Amino acid sequence: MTPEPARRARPWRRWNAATHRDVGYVTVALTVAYAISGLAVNHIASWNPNYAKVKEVRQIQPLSRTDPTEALVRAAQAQLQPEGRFKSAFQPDDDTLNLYYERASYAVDLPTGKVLVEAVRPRPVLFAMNQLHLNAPKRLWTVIADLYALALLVLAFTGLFILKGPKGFLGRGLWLTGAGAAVPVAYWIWWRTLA
Amino acid sequence: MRTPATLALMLLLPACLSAAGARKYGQPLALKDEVKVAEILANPDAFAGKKVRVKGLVTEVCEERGCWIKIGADKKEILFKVEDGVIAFPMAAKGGTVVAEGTVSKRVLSVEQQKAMCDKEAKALSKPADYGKITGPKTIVRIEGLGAEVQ
Repeated sequence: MTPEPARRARPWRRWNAATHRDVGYVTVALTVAYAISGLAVNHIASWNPNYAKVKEVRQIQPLSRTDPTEALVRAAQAQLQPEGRFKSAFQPDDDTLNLYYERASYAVDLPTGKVLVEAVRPRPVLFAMNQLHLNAPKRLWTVIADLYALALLVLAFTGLFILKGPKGFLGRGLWLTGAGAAVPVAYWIWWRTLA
Repeated sequence: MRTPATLALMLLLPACLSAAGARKYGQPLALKDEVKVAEILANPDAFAGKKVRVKGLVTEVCEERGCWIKIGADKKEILFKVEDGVIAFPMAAKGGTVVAEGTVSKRVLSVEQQKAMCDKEAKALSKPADYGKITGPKTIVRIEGLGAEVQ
């Protein structure tokens, strides 16, 4: 008795699998970036996913609130010796002088000489991921993000038809796809009616 | 071969985009006449609902989403709020000179409304509500931002 030759997958299924595989390769980096950024931004109430902030209180000699802003800036700079490029200065009120530098800002309380120094650093890599995820660059990135969204749709639909038989879409796939779809639908109904 | 190429693109693109020095945000500026921040704050009823152009320093930036900045000039500051996700100001804008356009809005929050906002904030941050700062109805004047240029 000769063994039955292996049945070859239908051409459309081979193309479907190849499309799923190659689109998956192309989009894996962006998927990882968006997933990590999504986790980071989801918990924005608990931490700042974009910037690491360092606060420090320093003490200088009190400054006269009646002096003109330019003189106050010079006097504060002489005592603080800040590093980096000076950008600007602003007095939100008569008792406060804010100095803005490239990488830090200084809020001087003139009557007491107390200075709040705030240095803000973008978090390496995560800042870039978040900016791209939130489409901060706009322009060309909007097109790339649109293409990525379309690619995800292609991945989703081609993924449904990779396998056939009891483990394919018409077998366990239908149940699992239904369960996955039920989660957002049920949550939405619960949130709109009961929460 | 495609994955390394995609990774290279991922790494290079942000650098290229930031090197281009994107300093314009949102819609292009259209108005010619500038209004002083102090004028708006002194007489918000006259400006409410009107489109204005203001100039000043970026004194604060929303650290979480970049969805607002404070514009300061002549010892006065006004909040310039932009739609989340439409414009995102970077922290690097802080201390820069900004020319911005938007529509002035004025809202009066009752004590009850402020308490409700406190409750909402406390729930979001999982901390007890603090009503200490509420002393009476509060008037909020801000600019609903449309576009800005930061130098």
